[in-house]
Amino acid sequence: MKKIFTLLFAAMALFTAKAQVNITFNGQTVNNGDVLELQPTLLDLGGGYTILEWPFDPTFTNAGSSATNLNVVVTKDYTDGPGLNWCGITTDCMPISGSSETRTTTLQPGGMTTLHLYPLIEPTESVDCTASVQVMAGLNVLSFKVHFVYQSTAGIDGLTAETAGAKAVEGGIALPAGPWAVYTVDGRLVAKGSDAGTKLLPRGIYVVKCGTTSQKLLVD
Amino acid sequence: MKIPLTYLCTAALALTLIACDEVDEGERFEPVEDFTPRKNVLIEDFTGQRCNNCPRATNTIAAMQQLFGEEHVVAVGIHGGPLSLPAPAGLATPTAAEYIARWGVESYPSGVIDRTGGTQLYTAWTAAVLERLQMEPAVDISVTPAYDAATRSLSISVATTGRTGAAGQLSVWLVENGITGYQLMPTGQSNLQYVHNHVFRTAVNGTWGEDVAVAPGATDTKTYTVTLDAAWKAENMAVVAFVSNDQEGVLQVVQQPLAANNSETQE
Repeated sequence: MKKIFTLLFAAMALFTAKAQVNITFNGQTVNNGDVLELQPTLLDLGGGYTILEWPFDPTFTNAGSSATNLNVVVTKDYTDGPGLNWCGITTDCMPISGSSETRTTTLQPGGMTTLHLYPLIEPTESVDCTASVQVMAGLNVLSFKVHFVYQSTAGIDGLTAETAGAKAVEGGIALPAGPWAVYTVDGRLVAKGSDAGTKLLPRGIYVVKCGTTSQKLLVD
Repeated sequence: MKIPLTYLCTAALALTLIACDEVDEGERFEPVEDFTPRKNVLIEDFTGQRCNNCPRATNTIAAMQQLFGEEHVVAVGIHGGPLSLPAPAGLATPTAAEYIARWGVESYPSGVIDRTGGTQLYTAWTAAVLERLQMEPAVDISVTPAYDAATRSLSISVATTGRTGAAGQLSVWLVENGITGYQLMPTGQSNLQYVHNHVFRTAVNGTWGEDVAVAPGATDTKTYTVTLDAAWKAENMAVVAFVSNDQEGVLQVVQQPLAANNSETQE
């Protein structure tokens, strides 16, 4: 009898171990502990109306030979901040209630789904927040974070030569010590840090945030 | 390990009892009898242009309309909530917010079938619709629209006739088909040329309609006049009229195009 149970457990483990879900982000494999940077695209619908489109990634693909139960837990890593809308894993969209939520689905062999998680903000609002994601597929568990970042340019008018110690120099921006961040004019993060120095950048207009002050600088 | 003979014999006996019967090839399938809907069914489809799964719900509606007939499955797309776009860029209306609050819509897409059973995910709609199609309608509804293109004035006559008699609220809505605009697709792609059909535009006789009561054989006729918004295309619009109450849901619903040859525009 003991041998039968041992064989049964081994068979179950083998069956379950065949469950293989690949997680990719921008075509690259997601590993345990990764932080995925999610930034939106500004879409102009005409008439001066714009919306933010967030990526659907990361993508979950069942690369195994049997159906796999996929269990995904999302936990907000902040208390004050925007709501998170979850439209992936299952087929309904709704904001996460509370600080954490779990969704479960079954992926057939070759089947795929996406996380499709994003903050509920308008193009005139900014965001810099993180959520933790724990994925369980069969016996496999993987955890990573998603970092949502977007800098609105609303209220930042005109170009200036210098702001709060940051100034445009030939080929880049000279930045002071202290927290700073550089964004494109459509809100995408280019660089952030706290050390003083010059950040080399392609020619163009950038939004520079030093502390709580934001302005536009032109890099020639 | 030896398996007792008794267990083997029992297993063999059990196998004989569950053996398959021989069935002639011509008798292996039982044909489904033709199904004729007895009443029409209303689907309030709570949707949004930024809802990537909402096109799937629309496809479910199209499949049901093909299966049961467009006149029997009357769908209205109610754009509202955080995944909708406000006018003029989008299709959301202030009235939608009232319906969303009334039904407690929290996820999208969600639907209410014949104003019964609360909100349901689109995967459950077909079964709910099929059940309601088989019910006897308590009233008949006839809608006669008359549109003056020069003034954009629409006159609507709605006649409600009791079959078994009923009381409830008569709601008269305007919907529009063939609206090209933005829609986020299930694939994550943005479709700027998506064709939106059966879009809720306005509640002609108020958000919650008005009281109506008809005895068997009696007819109640109400007339309404409304001016179409400049952005609406009358040739693509239709009147949706339904009688409902809190106990029985929608007793009957009809859809009447403003134009004689109006139909839903295909993508």
